[in-house]
Amino acid sequence: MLEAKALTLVKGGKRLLNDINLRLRPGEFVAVLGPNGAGKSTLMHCLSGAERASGEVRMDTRCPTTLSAFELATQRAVLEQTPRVIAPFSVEALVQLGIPRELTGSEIAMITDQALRLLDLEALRRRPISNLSGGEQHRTHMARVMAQLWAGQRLGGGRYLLIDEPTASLDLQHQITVLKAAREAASQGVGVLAILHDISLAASVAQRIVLLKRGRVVADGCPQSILTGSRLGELYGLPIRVQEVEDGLTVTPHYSACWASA
Amino acid sequence: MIAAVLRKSAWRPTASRQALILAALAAVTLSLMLAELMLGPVPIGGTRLWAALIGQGEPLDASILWQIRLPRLTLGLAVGMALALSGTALQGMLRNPLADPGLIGITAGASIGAVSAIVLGGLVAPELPALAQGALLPLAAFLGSTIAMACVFTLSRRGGETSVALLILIGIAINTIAGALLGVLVYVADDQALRDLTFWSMGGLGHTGWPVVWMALGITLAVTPVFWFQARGLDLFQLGERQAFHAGLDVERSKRRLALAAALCVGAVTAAAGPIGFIGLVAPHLARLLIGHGHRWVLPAAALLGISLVLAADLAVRLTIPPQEPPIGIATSLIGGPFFLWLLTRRSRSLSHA
Repeated sequence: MLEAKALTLVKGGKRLLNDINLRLRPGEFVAVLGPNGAGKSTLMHCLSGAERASGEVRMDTRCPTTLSAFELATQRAVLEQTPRVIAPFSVEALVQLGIPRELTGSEIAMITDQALRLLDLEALRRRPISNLSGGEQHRTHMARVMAQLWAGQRLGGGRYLLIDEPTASLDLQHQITVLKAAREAASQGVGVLAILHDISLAASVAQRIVLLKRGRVVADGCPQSILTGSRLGELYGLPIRVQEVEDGLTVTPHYSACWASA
Repeated sequence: MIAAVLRKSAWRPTASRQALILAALAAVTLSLMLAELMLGPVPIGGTRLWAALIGQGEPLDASILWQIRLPRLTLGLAVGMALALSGTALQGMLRNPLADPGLIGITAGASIGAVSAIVLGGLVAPELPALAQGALLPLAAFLGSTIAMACVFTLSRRGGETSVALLILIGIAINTIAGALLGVLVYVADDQALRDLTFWSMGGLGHTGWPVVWMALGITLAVTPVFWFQARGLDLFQLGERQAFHAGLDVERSKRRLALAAALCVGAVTAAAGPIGFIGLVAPHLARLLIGHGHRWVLPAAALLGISLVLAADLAVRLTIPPQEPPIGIATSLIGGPFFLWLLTRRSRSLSHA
């Protein structure tokens, strides 16, 4: 279990995280939602071990900041918001950057193929990353992160997947491709934490939703119970309409009211 | 369109192609090494060279080889390798194609150390044992390069990342400060020190004897494995420091090791050969153009290219007006300066396209 207790982070006089308690169980898909600047990415960095905060973070039994970078990388894989790479590696080479050299050559090749197939990148595998569109680059980074997760599983870890806006700059089809990959990981026992902005998408993919505002958790629970129009309206400062449809929830701003008030 | 894609994929460096390129580079390096031994005011042909090397040649050939050309060659190997590997490491870990030991001030730091040793060494050297006297120059240069490296890295850090634009500006500042300190040292130097200093600061492979040359090559060879074992780390650095950490790289430890290795070997070769510019900039770029971006291939290719460039520059300055010897720095700057400008315009063009 990945767990944060009373997590507080103050940086440059600003309280970025304020007394956050959060649990991510194996096999669970949790979506974190909230307006810009709510502390979502900061929270993810604390959980991933990249950022130190007061309070307590436990990855299974240990504190992430006490683990070495390599041990952490075998336990969890992280997709950063707007990942970039300077050198024009090929898609294949970039995916392999996620795989530690402790694996054998054939294992590395197998994991690479699997990741490329899962994210629909096989046709692009030899292309330099600098020639791809933004969305294709984003998918390549997701493939690298999935490869790291699977490599971690072969080394006795691969337990958590933390992804920051994995669907940003993707078309509808590939939004589903990426989230399917994450769901599949969850169904195999990986704890998945995804920062998302599309509330309807989050409601359909996640078992639990955490709402964050100004560094605080304002709600934590299953989508149907916590996604109410009034709560979301207060969170985003907009009139919001939540509709029940046969296979989930559709959450949209109340557009006519929005334009009228503007 | 499809044809273009196909052509592109055919030209993509594959492992066997990369091995072939490395072999070709090694052949070029070897022929330049031979040329370095054979050519000069007194040409020494193949059979005479072999005879002299195994100790059966004419005494004149043997003394030319052992006293002049072999130390030159050995120092050329050390300088080319040290500058090229350090340049590759700095460009890789700072994600900055303009990072070069000379431009960011590491060579200037080493120069201050070396010149201090030349000018002020006379005061302390008589008190020291003979071995320490020989090591004074490289040690001082290493100290200087390490201090410069530490300054560069501490000052250019912003919010956990090493800022790229700031790095170049800090390099300018360090180069300026070093220039001023050099001026002070020149001012207080006595006549003998001034002569030594002038020769040293022009840069060249021919001004030193075996002990300093061995020291330079020894230190360079000793730190080469550090660069090699960080090849994957250098690849990961291309993702940015936070993502490299997420992918399992101990970023701080990697940076410390690479920076220390670079400071060590740049200090050692600068002490022996004086400041030689642009090799650390040009060699890694040519290597990446030829062999792609994986550091497992870039590092050896850059080392071979560095050696070739240094030896070619040395041959060029020795053979133009024999037996005169213009400083090698002139040749490297003549190639490197325009290259630097080309790099800048290419970069700004690609930026304006983006």
